[in-house]
Amino acid sequence: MDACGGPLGNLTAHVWLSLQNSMILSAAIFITLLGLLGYLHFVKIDQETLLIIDSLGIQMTSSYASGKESTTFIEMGKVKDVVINEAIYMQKVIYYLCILLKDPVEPPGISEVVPVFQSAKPRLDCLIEVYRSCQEILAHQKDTSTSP
Amino acid sequence: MACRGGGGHGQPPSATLFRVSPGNLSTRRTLTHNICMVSDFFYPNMGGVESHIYQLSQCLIERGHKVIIVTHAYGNRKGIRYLTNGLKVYYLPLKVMYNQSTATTLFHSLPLLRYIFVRERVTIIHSHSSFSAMAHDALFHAKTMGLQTVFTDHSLFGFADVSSVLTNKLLTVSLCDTNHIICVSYTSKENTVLRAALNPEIVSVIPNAVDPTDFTPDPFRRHDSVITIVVVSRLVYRKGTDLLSGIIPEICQKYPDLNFIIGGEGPKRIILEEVRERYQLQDRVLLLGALEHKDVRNVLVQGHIFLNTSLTEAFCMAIVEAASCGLQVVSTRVGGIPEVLPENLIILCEPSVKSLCEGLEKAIFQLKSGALPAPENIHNIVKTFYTWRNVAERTEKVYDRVAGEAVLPMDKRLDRLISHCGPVTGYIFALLAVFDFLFLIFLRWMTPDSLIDVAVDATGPRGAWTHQCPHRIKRREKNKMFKAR
Repeated sequence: MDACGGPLGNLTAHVWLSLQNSMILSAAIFITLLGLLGYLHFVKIDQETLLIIDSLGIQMTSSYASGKESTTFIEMGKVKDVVINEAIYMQKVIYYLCILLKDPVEPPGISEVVPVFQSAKPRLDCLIEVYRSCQEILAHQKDTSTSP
Repeated sequence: MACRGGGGHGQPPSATLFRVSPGNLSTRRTLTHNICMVSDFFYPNMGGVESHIYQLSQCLIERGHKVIIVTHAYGNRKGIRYLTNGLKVYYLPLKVMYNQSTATTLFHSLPLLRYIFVRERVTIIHSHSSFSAMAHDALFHAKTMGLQTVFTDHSLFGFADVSSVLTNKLLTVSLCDTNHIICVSYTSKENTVLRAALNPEIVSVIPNAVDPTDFTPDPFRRHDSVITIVVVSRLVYRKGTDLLSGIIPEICQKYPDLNFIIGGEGPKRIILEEVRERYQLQDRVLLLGALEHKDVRNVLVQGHIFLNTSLTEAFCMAIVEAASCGLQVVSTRVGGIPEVLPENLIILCEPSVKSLCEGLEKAIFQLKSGALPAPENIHNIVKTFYTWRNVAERTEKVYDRVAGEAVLPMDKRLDRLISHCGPVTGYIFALLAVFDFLFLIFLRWMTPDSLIDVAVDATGPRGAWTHQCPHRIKRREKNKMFKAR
């Protein structure tokens, strides 16, 4: 009995230890996976879209790496203008495109500035392309709204 | 506007020394510079350095140069803003340590400053004021990046106390490899050359200026039944407020028909209030407190005599402003003050209560006997002396000269530091310069110059502001935005 109990006790201790180890290990793997999923689902943006329709408004969609999409819609009546602005961001000075919203209380004022392409941060030449098309559509919208 | 920025990508990323203007400019110059003014002190902070930077920049823009200003964030005012005529100001989010001067570690400002220098295609860095840590930082980094550097010193300094010994050492290090230094008066030049152990040939004297149209006399605003003495200065030790507190009772006792108007705020205001209390002069000594720059003229024109009691002064703007308003100036003979005005417009005294009282009595006697020239005449003489256009022209000559010079390469710079700044400091700063260089290489590897968008020029030969309809740029509460329809 005695001769047998020693190795058996050793074995149980060993199994318990490896079990404990694997528990920590699996927990670590689980948390990492969860973190990764969370990152893909909430942080990493794969694609940003700006859809502007002159009779309706502006829709901004960002699709996350997991496939989740979040959409913001601004109706045309609220949009004052689309402009390119400069800002100090981290250790850089960047250009960004933003939408200016009308102030409902005080019409010539601006109530809010909504930045576009926040995660992609395209460079100036790209922004100018987008900016030009936006301005064309906005000008068209203003023409049609004032002509009738 | 935007399309011009897009065209900027075609330029070579390396900093060109100067650009040839397209020729459609009204100015006949062919050499234009991209100038970056760096100082901790800029509006909304008020003072001589601030207005100097602003006015000089405006005149340089008028002459076709591109000018940007870099300063630190003031409270809620951070980011990029545009002032009159497209003067672009970067308010960088750096921590303020003491007296509106930023804290410095010598390195932490490099990434942002380098980014700005590259995106704005800056060719000349012009730093202002030896009290500004950011100005010295910018000089240090600019030399590492191989850009031309100019420094303007706005103040005089002593040699004896511990703080000036340390500041002077720092100034030696900072200026020993700077291309050119500008001082505001000959006294200031002498002082700077001695403090920083410089070669006097690379130091120029360009005085400050005042806008004479802002300081016009108005004799109807003052009452000729009483004599009014005006003092406008910060009420601090350097400005001689202690002398003023000795003069007030003495002069007031001697002349019953005499009033004081004192504009300005500061820690020494309390002693003036004590004097006023003790001698019962509440109705004769008027303390106005802090004045805005636009109100200064309205205060000056109420007086007959302007009193300046400064103990040290590189170039006294206040006395020029006062003389431009047609006041008789009585001042201490310190620093650069004797150079500022011709002898018939100023009464100079020793910085003591007795001498200043004698000076004031002389001025009062001249006033009573009608020997003083009319305010309008004084104004007409003074307005030709110091103009910003003249300052800008002379500064431009410095830029032209600097643009032709070579920036010291790294090995020569290290030699200069070691040989020029003493064995210990020299080696320490040579080491720091090497670190700065390595940090720059690292930054260039992280974000190569080619990945940095070239900024749309607001001013200068390709300036969007000057060449397109100015009404396209509109101001917003937080930032100013571009638009181009």
